[in-house]
Amino acid sequence: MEFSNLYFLYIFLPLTLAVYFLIPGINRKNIVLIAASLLFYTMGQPFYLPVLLLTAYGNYWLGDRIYNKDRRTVILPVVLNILVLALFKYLNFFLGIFGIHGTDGGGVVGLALPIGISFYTFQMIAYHVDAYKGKHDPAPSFLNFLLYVSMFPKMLMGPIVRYSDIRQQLEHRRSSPRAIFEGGVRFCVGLAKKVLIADYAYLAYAKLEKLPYGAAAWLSALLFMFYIYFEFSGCTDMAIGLGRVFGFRYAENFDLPYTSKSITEFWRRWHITLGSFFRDYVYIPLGGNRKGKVRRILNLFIVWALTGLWHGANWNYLIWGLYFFALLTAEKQLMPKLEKLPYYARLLITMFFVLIGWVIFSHESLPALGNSLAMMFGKGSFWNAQVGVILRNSLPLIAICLIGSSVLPRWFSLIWGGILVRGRKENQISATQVIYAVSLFLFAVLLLCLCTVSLVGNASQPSLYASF
Amino acid sequence: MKKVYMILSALFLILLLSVGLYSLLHLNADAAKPELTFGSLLDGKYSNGRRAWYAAAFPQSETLKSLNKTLNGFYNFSGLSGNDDVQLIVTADGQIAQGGATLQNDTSTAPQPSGGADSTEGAQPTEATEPINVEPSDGLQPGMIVEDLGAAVLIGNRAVEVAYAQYDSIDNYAAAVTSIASALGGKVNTYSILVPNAAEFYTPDAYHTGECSQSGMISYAYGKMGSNVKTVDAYSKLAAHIDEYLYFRTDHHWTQLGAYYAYTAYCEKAGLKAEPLSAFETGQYDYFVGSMYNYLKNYPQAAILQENPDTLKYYRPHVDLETTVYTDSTLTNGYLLGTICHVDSDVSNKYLCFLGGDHPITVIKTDVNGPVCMLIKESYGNAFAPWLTSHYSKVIVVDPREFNQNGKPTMDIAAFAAEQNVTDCIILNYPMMIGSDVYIGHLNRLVK
Repeated sequence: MEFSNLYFLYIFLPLTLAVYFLIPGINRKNIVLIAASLLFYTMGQPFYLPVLLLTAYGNYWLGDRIYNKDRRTVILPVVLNILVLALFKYLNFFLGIFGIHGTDGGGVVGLALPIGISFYTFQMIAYHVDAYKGKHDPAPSFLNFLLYVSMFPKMLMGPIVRYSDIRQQLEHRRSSPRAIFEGGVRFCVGLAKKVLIADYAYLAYAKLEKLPYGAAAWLSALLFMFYIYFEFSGCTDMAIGLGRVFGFRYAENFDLPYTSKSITEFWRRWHITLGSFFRDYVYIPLGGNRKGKVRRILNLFIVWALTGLWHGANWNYLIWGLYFFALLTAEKQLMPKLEKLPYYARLLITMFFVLIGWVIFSHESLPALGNSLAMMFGKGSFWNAQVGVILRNSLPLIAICLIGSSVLPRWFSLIWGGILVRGRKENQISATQVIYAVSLFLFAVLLLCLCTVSLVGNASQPSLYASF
Repeated sequence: MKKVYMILSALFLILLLSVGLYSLLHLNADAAKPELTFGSLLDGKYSNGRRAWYAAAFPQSETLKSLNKTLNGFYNFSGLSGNDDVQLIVTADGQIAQGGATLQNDTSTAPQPSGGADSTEGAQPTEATEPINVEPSDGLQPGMIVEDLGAAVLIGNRAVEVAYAQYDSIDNYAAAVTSIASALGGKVNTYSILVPNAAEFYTPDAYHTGECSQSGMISYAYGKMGSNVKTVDAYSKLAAHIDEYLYFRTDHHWTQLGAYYAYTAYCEKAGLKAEPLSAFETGQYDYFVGSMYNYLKNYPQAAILQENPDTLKYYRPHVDLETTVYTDSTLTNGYLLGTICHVDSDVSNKYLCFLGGDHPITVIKTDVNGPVCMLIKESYGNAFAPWLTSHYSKVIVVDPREFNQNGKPTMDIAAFAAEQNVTDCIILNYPMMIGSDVYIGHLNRLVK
């Protein structure tokens, strides 16, 4: 089930919140949260609930045994998790490489991808490796571990939360009134990013991407770039916001990536938890930059190939990952010269390459990818009247996307909060603080109303990252 | 401040709960609920369907959709240009073609007194058409397959579907038609009639040239068909009369007059003498706001369609006939309907007057001493079929979308045609269908 549907917003979520806050005691709250999470999952893919429960129990059981006996056997659960992921996500792709296809030309294994598997599998791998490193004890109970794995706010689209980060919160957490309030506001902001920006950007992108003109290819690439940012960061905001409501602090996943001045900076700001996962669990264990230049480049190559493949079992994702490997390698060499350029020149150069990256990402068919790139760089006609109309139709949307992905909303938030709240104590009521809180409340209600209006009129697009 | 945050958070939760409770108490009973089966429960379709149903049944939906229209207007800015310009381009999906309703006979299979149209020009009823009602409601139903087929474009006071050539799909379409002709064998003449829609004639160049050229798509498709398929040049006939009322402006279909010119092209190919228009009595529905308006009504720009409705003129067959609708190829348990049906004034889709909309099989028996014709079609065929009645003793209209899938009845088109002594088979489609993989799948499944 997605967050951006009316049933979730007005039935599932309020009932879950009401029961959660009415029931006393952390253990009972945890059981409510587990039940809600499993129900949430069941409402999306009921037939994969046993897969989730079995893999969760298997990981819990293995983790328990490994920690108590021989921690070096951590390799076993890590490999098993990778195998489970490979079975569902990569088997058909790898068989296809060797020319083995199903009877209809599709995959040999007719298994749908369990939603969220890429996220929860990585969380379980991180759990074992961190336990091996002594960062945390094994989960004290299966329910504790199941809650970590299945918690519905982060179940489908992350962020990739590490057990060591929320271990304490699983057993001892308090949802402060302010955290609940701010979490709710954050959820509404995320919902608006998804429903009021990403969904409309996708519709405009879908109109353009089939038009065989250069301008359409550029414009559709730009709209896809905005779509994927507002879609993914919006869903992450919803997850982090809901997490805060329930008393959890999940790691941030985005930090204004489209303000980056370099590719390196972009990847520090985009899908942060995935980048840190690969850094901590692949790059550094492989030797990182400690074993010479050649080995460092090889390690980076592996990391970026895996980053690409994590997004999907297809050649374009692999190419997309390696494209960033090439860019980062080149950027490291050119950085002294690039740093002399003015900010906006560096921003534009970075965004140009990021945009080309999204063109690769958005085309699972390689011939279509080649055609799209060729149109962008001169093949065929550039302009067509249809493109002009769609551009005109989309102008307000593009303006919102540009403003929304810039630093302006953050500045406004900081200035607004700074004027009204700064220097005032939370345990005292002041008029300016009340104005600040009420303004946020009204803003959140306004966004919720607009999203409801949009969701009644137009069905929300399925979240792309939920299928990764 | 903790109390303030607590109060505001509680207010927010109360708001969500109140809306949820209100929605459950005031759900729109008309929305179609998904069917509960063990399979649908297991694979999540039931659960997804329930959520789609809840969204469709959400209370105050008309008010909310009206507000959403404003939102869509903002996100689809048309500038300050005049009405003659292209205002809006929206992705067109299968909902336009699939979202129609059908007229149903209530209960009786006995002939009933005929109904007429809103206003007639001396037309007399020739067959049973009442009582009828409408089902299901317009719009996307849970589980309906939707394809991205092109663009819905609003130009002045006309909305059209613009098709984009997808040559792989057109190859498959041509192969499917050829395969049906092969299955029917040499004793049956198989004709392909591909007709353009309004976008081909009433849009600026960018919408009917290059990738959007329907004449190009039709020629390409004809070129790919086997020699056992007789292709009909309906395009030229229509192109010669574009100053006439060939297509609706608010609906994606052609008028019956448009279908008439395709019929004359067919007659030329089949060696028949086309009846003159003057041989038919006519009637009309004065207020018709059709599928294109329904598809675009969530955009404020589409109000111009509602303000400028179409007029639907029909031509009533002059032969004695009896039109029966069947749900499967056994042709049992049919019920009588009309070739030209009465449509109540509160039914917006006046195009339903032709055959009462889309049905699995419609059999029109006439008093003509002639051969048997089978028309395989989507809804464009509904306005075409009445013209055939002057030449055949029986016209059997088959909608391939109603067979061989998702629990629908089976149909082996070759065996069925042999049973019915079919001598001529016409496969009639418009460009949005020849690029539709879903529709092509329906055609392919007719051949066992």
